[in-house]
Amino acid sequence: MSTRGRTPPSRAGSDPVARLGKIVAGRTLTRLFRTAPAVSGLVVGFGVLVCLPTGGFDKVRDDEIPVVALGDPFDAGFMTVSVTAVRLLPDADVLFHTHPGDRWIAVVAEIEVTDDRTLNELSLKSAFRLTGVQGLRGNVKDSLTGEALPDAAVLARDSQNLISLQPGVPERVGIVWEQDPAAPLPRTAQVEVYHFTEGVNTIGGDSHYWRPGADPGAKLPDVPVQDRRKG
Amino acid sequence: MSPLGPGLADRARETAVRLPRLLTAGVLVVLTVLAGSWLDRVNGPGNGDDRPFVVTGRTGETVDARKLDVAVLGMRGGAVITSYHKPVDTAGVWLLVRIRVTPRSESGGLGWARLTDGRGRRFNLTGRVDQPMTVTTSQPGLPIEGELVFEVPRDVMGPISVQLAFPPIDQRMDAVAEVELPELTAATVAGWVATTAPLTLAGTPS
Repeated sequence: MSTRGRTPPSRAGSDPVARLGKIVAGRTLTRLFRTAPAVSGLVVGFGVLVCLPTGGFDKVRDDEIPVVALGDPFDAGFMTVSVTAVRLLPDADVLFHTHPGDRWIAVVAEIEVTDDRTLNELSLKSAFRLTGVQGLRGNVKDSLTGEALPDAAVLARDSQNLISLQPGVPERVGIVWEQDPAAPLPRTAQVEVYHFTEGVNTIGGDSHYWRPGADPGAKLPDVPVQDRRKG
Repeated sequence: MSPLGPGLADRARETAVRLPRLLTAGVLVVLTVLAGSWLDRVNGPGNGDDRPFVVTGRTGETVDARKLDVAVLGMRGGAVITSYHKPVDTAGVWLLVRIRVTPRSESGGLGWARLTDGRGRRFNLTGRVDQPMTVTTSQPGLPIEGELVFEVPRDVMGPISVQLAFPPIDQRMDAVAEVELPELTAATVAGWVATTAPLTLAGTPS
């Protein structure tokens, strides 16, 4: 029988100094690295076996996303949202082009924060998507889907950039995207709103928002786009 | 000799020796993860080891917030506030908290404030109006006074408190002063909502 240079168990197992020497010499590590692909393969294989029958790899069908009507309020996790319009907007002091001459397209919504803390602009913007509109600049993109995140949020009350929304204080808000003027003028658009939930960081203990899946919690298909560029 | 040949037989024997070890290692990994998960559940996620050190006080008292001495002097409210020479309204109500801040041993000022109402709702300082107290610094021992502005809903009431701290972003492992404010009643808030004359921040030219 070949021992292939293996130290007899009586010496390696009983003498801790010899065992430490082997570790330092790297033989144990070498064995570990040699078996790592097999172990990883087993783990991945097990994961695939579990996911396949439970539908873990199935793509969520578009018709499974709940449809909401224009003007109807719905729960979006940390807020209730009622989308009232999609509009092309005129230029405004608070909207800054990354490309001169670009158009502005906005989802107008009544929003009330139902969570127990102030909602900042970034968290608000990350919940909204606009699909079916070509040429969105997407200066910031969704890390999962690559879709264009909104470029600005404006408070209708004072036409100023929205910085945060306070719990229990409802506001009319414009969620704004920058659009390439070479793209066709959109006639309709689909608004998608992600449902965020609060999670607790198990290391730091601080809470944060996260979205449970890569699919929106609600959508409003075929919303007519109103052209308000000339007031 | 094994019908599989000497090389294959050796490998089969070696695998027979390694497989139990691999399985043992796998079981130990799973047990370790389960034990960690159980400990996490027992302790609670992020067991608060790095939470801020909260020093409590009452309106009018000076509270030690490590780099600052802070005191809450009072509060008032209204439906409209003047900011940058313009009236700014709200769907809620503006709640102004008057404070005094004194840097202790080095120059600085207030970096962060948050208001908590009787329902546990937490309100950061509003970004809709000028907040001069968050950008004003002073020298050690020289107090500065001014008002903080919070935008709160009209159903705010009950015991409310304000938290004040030196670090503007991360207050963990640092001192936070928590001061109780006089209890708010529905009548007080209704009076504020009816106050349409714009509030002007104390001590500022806005």
